[in-house]
Amino acid sequence: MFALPTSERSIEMSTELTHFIGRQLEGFDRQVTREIVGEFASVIGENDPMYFDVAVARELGMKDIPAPPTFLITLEIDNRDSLRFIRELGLDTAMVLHGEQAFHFRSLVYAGDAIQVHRRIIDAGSKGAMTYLVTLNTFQRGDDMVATSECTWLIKSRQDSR
Amino acid sequence: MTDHFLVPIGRFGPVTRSMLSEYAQASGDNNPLHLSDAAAQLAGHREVIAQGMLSMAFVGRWVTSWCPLDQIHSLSSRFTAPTPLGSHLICEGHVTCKEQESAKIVYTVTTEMNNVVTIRGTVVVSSSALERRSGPTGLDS
Repeated sequence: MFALPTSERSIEMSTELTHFIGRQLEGFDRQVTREIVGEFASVIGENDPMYFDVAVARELGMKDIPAPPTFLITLEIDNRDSLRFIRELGLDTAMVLHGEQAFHFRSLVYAGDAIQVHRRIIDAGSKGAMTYLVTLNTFQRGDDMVATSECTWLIKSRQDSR
Repeated sequence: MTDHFLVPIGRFGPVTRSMLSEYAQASGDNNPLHLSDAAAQLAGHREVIAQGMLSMAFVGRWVTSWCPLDQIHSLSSRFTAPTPLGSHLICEGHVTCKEQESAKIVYTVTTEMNNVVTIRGTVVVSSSALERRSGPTGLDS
């Protein structure tokens, strides 16, 4: 399934990237608020009142306004700079694509939660003309792991795009 | 044995430029590919393309229209093609595996106009969430 590297350059690149496997990235302490959940929900066109009205959420048995399923992405992104860690690894961010995203939920995240995000690179290498990086992000609320996510970034080389 | 839960179809769009900048603002996904035509052209696109995560957020809305939020175990997406401005998107899925505890639904997101698959993904939900869903749709049950 994985094509062999076709040039010296990609062999170098692949070796370099493999070297990143296991690297811890900067973690974050995030405070989830009703405002940021509401803003996210509204931007994605959500109109379920439980995302906007705490009374509705409580009526449904929730402790506060819940976060929509993909809201976790906002917690794992570098402070409003999604490509920062890629740039800091010395890779070309002009050619970065988000390849895959997976969330595994154990418990809902609510407004009022303090979430600790830990991130590390769990895979890296090349696949044909693409190089890729996979990060594993864990979301903790106190001692509880509430969710994990895996994010795959694809990086095309500029040469290949011509 | 076979439970013919029919996953409803979801429709979203059109995807607009202001949606992309609002999504970038709300999510922190500030990749210029979604905000600047020049950056998008450098990467070989005609103009800005939508964030994959914006489409995945639509997928989240679609899933929660037939499955309660707290019954979703996992949600994954592979972004298979860029989503151009103006796209109307269709989410479709079917149950591929249903066990006592959980059920797996494989889904696609396609552009309505030219039928390009932009996401292939999987969602795993509690089986009980599907059993309860023979009545009207919504989270209000």
